[in-house]
Amino acid sequence: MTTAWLVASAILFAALVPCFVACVRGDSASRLVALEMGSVVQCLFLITLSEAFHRVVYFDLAVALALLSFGGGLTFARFLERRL
Amino acid sequence: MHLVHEIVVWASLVASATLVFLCAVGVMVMRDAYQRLHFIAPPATLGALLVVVACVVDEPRPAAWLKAIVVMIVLGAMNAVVTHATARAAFVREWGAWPPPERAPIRRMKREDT
Repeated sequence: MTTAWLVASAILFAALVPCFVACVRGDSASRLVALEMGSVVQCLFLITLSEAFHRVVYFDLAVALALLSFGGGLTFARFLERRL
Repeated sequence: MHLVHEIVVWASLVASATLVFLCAVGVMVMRDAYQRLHFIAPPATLGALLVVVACVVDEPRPAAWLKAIVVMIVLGAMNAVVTHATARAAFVREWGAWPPPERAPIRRMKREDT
């Protein structure tokens, strides 16, 4: 069953490439959207990777990333509004 | 029963990863930030749900799938808030203020980074 998690991890890792391309080009708002998309993909990637290697403790990384990307996204949005 | 579990895990994971990949491609190819924002929702809701389903079926330890459920809840709740904040920020950056004045015509600000 580990193979399924590894395959999902590989596909999710490949999904980071379009996010990176969108982060590199485009205006500031589009870059922020790509960054948020990348954080969602990374959360799922960490879950699948830790399940593939049977390391339950690494699920905490996904929890921490989900919580921190929430605050980071809101902060970047405020910067984008030019109110900070 | 083991075969059924394996089929559920494979189907959930492949569907979730494919959905996330297609949405990432959608973020890359769409025209502006407002269109791109639509593509964050499916991975944060359905993609996370499918990963959690696979995790619950495959993982016997509750500590693992409970954390996966926490991630799913955080991602689902976070997505709506951050999407709204980002769309509002993009609007303010582009048009100057939110909400837009009702009578005065909206004056488009100079875009610096396009």
